[in-house]
Amino acid sequence: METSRHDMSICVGTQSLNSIALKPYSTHPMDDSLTHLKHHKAINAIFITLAWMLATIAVYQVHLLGDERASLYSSHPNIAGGQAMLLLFGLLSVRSRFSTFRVKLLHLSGLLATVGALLLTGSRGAIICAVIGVGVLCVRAIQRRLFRTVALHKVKVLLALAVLVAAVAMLTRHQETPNQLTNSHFSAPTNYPWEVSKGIQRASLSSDTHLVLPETGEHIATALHLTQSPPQRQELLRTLVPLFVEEGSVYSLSFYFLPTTEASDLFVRIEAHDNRGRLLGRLGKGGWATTESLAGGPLLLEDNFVVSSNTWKRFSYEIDDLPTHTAEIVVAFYSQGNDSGSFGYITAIQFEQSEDATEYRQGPTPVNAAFGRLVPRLIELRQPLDSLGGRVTGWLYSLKLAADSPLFGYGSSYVDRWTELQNSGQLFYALTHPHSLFLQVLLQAGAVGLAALFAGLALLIHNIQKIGTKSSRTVLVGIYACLTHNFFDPTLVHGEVLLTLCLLIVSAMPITTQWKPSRNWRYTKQFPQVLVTFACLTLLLLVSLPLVQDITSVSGITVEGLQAPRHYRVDHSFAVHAALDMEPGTYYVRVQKCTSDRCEIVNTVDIKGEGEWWGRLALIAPTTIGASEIRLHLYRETFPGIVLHAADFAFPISVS
Amino acid sequence: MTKLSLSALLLALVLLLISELASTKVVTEENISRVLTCDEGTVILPNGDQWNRTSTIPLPENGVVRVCVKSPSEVEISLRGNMVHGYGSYTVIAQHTENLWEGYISEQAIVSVALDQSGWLTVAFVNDYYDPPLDRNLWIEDIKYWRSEE
Repeated sequence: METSRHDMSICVGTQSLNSIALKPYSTHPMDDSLTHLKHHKAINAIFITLAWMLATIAVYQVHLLGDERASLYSSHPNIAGGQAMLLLFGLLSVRSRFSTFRVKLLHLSGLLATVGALLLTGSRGAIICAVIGVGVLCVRAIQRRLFRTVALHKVKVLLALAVLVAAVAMLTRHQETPNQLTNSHFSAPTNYPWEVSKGIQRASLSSDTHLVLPETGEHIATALHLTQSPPQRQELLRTLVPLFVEEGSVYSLSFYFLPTTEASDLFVRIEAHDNRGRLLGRLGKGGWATTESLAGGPLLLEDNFVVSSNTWKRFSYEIDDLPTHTAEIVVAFYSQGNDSGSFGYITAIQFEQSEDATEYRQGPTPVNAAFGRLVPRLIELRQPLDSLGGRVTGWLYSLKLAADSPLFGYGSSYVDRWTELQNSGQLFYALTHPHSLFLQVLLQAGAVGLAALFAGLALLIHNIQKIGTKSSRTVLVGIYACLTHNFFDPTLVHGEVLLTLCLLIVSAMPITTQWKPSRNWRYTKQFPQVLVTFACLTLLLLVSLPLVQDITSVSGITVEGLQAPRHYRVDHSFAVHAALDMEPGTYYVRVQKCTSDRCEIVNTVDIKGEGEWWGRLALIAPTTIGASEIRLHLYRETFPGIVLHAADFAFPISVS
Repeated sequence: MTKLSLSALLLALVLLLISELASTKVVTEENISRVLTCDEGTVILPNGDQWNRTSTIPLPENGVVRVCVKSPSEVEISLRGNMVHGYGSYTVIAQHTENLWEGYISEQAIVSVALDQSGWLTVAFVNDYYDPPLDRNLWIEDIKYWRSEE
């Protein structure tokens, strides 16, 4: 029996979990130090293996499949982020005091891999919770006189923090190169920041088309292949994120282009946008205008070029006299005709603040590019309310729904209620669930279920805290980070996250301990805190309900004028413009097209300011003949990021 | 200590919510559709500039030109459009939320409308098409505005 226990470490893990979560008052303390040592080795191995597995999958998904964010084994990157965050705390909790140097090295590599996987998921909630959790561990470590007796556990915490800080510093550091385009010669395995359109792929160059940069002597073996399969769309390549510019400054764009025999009619479209992303002008041969045709014609590549020469040529364009209010530049490559086939190769693109194109230098490093997709998401945090993605509104509507069935909830039919809410047009954002574990439980199981969840969590926290070891304290921090993350994203309802949490709990078991069970709740400091938190949430719920009930009586935005056709041709696009009058604040306009049986969202527009606003709301192309209705839902954003229904406006249309 | 800080946080939230509720106004019929103030006869281009009446107004993209009018009055608008894929430039002439005229302009056209409301009269081009060399645009060649006799 004893041998069996030693060999089957996972059984020990299960037993540990059982002891912590289900049998807190067991009279059989697990004091077999050898058993626990085995147990920790197994847990450590599981964590390290899982870390490398997740990191490999994340790199594969982002850099080979081209996904914007790694979703790992889950259906959503935020869930993957929750799993990676728990894994990070799991690795931090495992103590390798008795391990060899090789195991310690492996452990460190697992930590690095986990941080990488977490960053590639781009889950801002998970990253923030992880950073806060690691920060708390560091503060604790310092409090316990870190520099008197340096333990490996504390070194690990510091190392993890250092990796996180280094990653953030790397992402935000000032670039030495004048080139503002990350990894712009495409030799590294990423195409950031370029969005690749249909049929365009990074391609290896053959031996006779290799490019040796005359400026640096660098050998370039890959480029973007500009091809078009279906003769429908003229856009071949476009910047994925806008290039931020300063009005009054002069910029230049340069790149190398190698045409193929079919290449013709290619032109560069340089667009100026304001800080809301609205098009201000396009650059043509004669300067800026709303279309290239009004600006002396588009910037055709073949104007300065013999198409059949089959040699690389560097093109450069000066971008000056930017239109007033320009904040962003978008660069795209278009074909002028409807031809399909191969147009050529493009590489070594340089966008810089300079009157003349300088010698080509590679943009920010590939390491930066590896996590470059995260940068725009982190930048969004400058506007925290916007980056919540409508969660606050979803939470308030969840409370409104919960108020109708407060005790026992709706069970699984809450999904139907939520869908009804969505279809009624009351929810501004297309949220498919409440985006909070606790509110989801409240809707599904009511206050009874939520109380049961809190009681279970309190019991779990109580028992882990009672262990009182360093590992268990790290695990507790990980659990708090997980629960905080679950306030924004219900990750714990997903198996992979729950499994990782279980592993984390198992790792809380001490290597050697004297198990001191206690039936006295007064010994635990955590449980009263959980109760207070629960009471605060309940009070917040009660306070919020009147606000939700008055939701239709909020003013702030009205339709002053409408410029929209009432008669449409099927499948023809028609623009709808409007003049709005607003009080100060942030507003949203949602345009819906409704037939007798269903509505579909055509477009959403966000507006900031006060007074008059004139602008385009949507392009509407009805697909069915008959009578329909266009509905404008006008919303207002107020404290604390709640999107309130302000007013509606509807007009009938006929489609022939 | 924890209870104290949480209670303070809760109190702050409650106060902020109450102040937000107090600052919101109820929608009334009076503030639904007030007339925006403007100088009579002014023509505002899509980019916000004022028209100097010396040249044709090109609308190469979907856009709105507005004219400040007082009632009773009449407006005569000279338009030029072009055909792409068998359809001309679709134009909507509206005041407030009511369409006074809408239709395709494939060549030259003059549209006259009588106005019995003051405020902005808008001329909108709504079916832009740009697929070089095909390019559907609208040109407003002239806008004549005069007061009708009471």
